[in-house]
Amino acid sequence: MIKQASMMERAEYLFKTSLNIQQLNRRLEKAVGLSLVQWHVLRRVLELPGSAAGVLAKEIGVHPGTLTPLLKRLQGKGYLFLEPDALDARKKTILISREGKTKLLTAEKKFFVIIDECNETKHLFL
Amino acid sequence: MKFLFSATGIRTLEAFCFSKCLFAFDYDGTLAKIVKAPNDALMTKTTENLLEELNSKAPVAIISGRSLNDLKKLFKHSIKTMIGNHGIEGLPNNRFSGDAALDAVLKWKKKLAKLLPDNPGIQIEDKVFSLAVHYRCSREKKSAKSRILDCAGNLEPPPRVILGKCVINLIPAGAPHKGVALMELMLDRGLTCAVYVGDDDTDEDVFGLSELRIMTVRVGMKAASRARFYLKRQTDINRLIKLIIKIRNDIL
Repeated sequence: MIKQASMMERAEYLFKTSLNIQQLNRRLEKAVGLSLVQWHVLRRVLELPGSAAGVLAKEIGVHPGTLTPLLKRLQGKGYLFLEPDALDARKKTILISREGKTKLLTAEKKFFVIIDECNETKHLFL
Repeated sequence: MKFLFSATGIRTLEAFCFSKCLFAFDYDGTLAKIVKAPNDALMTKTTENLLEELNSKAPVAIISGRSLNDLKKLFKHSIKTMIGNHGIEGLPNNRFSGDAALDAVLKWKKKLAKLLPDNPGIQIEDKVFSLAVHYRCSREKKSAKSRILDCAGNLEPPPRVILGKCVINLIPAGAPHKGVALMELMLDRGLTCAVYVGDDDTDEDVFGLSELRIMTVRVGMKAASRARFYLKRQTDINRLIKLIIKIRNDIL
């Protein structure tokens, strides 16, 4: 059985990690224009062009309801677009735009440097 | 169906080109114009060069109703991935029994030779694993077509019948079709999406896949088709390949 003190330590650690990730996200958005989650969603949209939101949510491992605002944000930035399926207009397919692809290409180098720096100072990864 | 060279079509094509995408093409009516004698159907030099250029930059496959030997003669060494006989030949990990197909095709050929004796304009093409009965040169195309269909109904074992442009394809039942072939190729190459261009009813096996990660393009607008996009005419194929090459050069 895990002692209460040990459980408190773990909870503290999780809390600090959560704060560090929030800080990392803010830094990434400021420097690169993409948060960690936004980058991940955009990467998956690039790899799976034409996917429906449900399929994409399953691939990413989030609830479709969680994905919707993320998609809207990326769409607002012009990095992706939703297109009605040519055979069934009720279905929307999600596709990366030229701007989105360019963003990924230009941002990723800087993106990974920041993540690495963050890891060195905040020890994000075990 | 949407026009491929519309704003939507081009944006969609771009999104597919940015990814690990397989570019697959049918041959007759898509890469080459349809002509009276199937042996005369050749690509133009421009199409050939463009296809070679695309092949050097991205994975390209030919998925055709022609036999694999026929395709090898047409493409020599330029394209490595070729699927013949509507998906029966050239598939990686093919689990379909070729012997059963050979047997069935032999029986059909003998029976058709009896049922369609010396019919001018009707030509039976033996593609080893399937038969193609052409009636393009027939003077009375309608009656030739219904005659062939009648005969096909009497064949044993019953074939899968796919209508084409002045051709009736007789394929062993249960054999993999073009849709299966494309999916198998994607899986085999670890590719997440594909662009497929075809023109015929046999291509509906790809167009009809309920898979949004395959961008389907039909040569010629047809409302009943399940393809998502269309090209107006066969000669637009050069413009399409050029565009794909340009997108890949621009961004990669």
